[in-house]
Amino acid sequence: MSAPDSAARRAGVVLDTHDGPRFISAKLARKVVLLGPVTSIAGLPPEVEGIALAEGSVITVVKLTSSATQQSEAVLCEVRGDLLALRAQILEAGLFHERPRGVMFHDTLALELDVAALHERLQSALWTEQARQRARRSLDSARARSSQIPAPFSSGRPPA
Amino acid sequence: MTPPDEQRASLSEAALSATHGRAESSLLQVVQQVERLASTSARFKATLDAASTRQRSAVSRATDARSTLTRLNDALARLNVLGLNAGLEGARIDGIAGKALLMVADELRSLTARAAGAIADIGGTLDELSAELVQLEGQLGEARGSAAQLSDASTTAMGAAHETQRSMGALGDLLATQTGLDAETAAAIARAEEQTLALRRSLQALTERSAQGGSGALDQALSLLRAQLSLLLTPPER
Repeated sequence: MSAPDSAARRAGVVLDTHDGPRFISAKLARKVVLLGPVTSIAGLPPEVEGIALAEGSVITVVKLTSSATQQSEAVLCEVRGDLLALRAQILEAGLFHERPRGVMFHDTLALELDVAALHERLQSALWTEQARQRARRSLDSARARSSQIPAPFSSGRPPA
Repeated sequence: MTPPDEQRASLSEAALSATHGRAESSLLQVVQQVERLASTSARFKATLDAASTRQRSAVSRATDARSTLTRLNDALARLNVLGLNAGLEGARIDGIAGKALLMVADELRSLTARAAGAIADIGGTLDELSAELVQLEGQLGEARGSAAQLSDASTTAMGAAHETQRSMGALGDLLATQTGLDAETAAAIARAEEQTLALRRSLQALTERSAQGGSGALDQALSLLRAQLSLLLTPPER
């Protein structure tokens, strides 16, 4: 941390994401966890890797790096009562010199990751997907009901 | 058969017996060498088998070491997470306690990184060792195949040599029955024949010298002696 000591410092973690280093405040970052195997689920937004067991709970795992990382560590964040595991290589955890829109990590500006916006985007995508699935199920059940209705007489005479 | 003919026949039989004796002696040496070769190739094959067993054991140990390295890496990953969480908690806590926790976290992360580097080095060395062991397995397999072929060939050669030895023995018995000569007598006769030949060559030289010197009586005596020797050494007509 090369900035002068007089600068304000912020507690948090810096991750190596596909957009470069990103900072997550300690107010959102609960802790760093080791994830178990991640189970992918169809219909989720592409950035959601799947769900995994961490700290005894099933948690949504969001992958923030494009590289095929073997790292099983992730930052567990709590946003509006939901837990999210943000998976990327964790570069550092501790105090960082504050800068506008982020912190300094070594000589690089690490922009603050808008976890709340990410959460909102994911929630929106999930709701959209749920609505789509619900509509599909309704359509399927309507089709099933219609197939059970007897067909009209084709010969004009009732069957014997 | 006239007495000179009998002498000549006896000499030929003796020469045959002597040749048989020499062949039998040479064959005995061949049998001994083939037996030694068979024994050596069997020992060679056993040594190669033992080396192959050790190589497999080494491969198994390398696999165990790889598994241990994986466990070490898991432990390091946990230590790394511990260091990160200590850093996060240290950053949250104000004051001396927070700073101390941050220092511990920094040190922990630094040590974890160094250990991870060392483990990566060991892993690289282990990979090279495993590759060498795989190569050694191939070479040992080839050597074992060659040793097995050598062992088979020497066993076959030993069988053939023993069979030849038996045949040679039977031939010797047959020869002894036919000629009435035992091996020692035949050898003695053969030696006598060789010495007679040498004597004949010496007499020839002496005759030539006496002819040059003009001694008629000696020359006559020598000619007579030479004629008798020639008669003795001429093979019988069949």
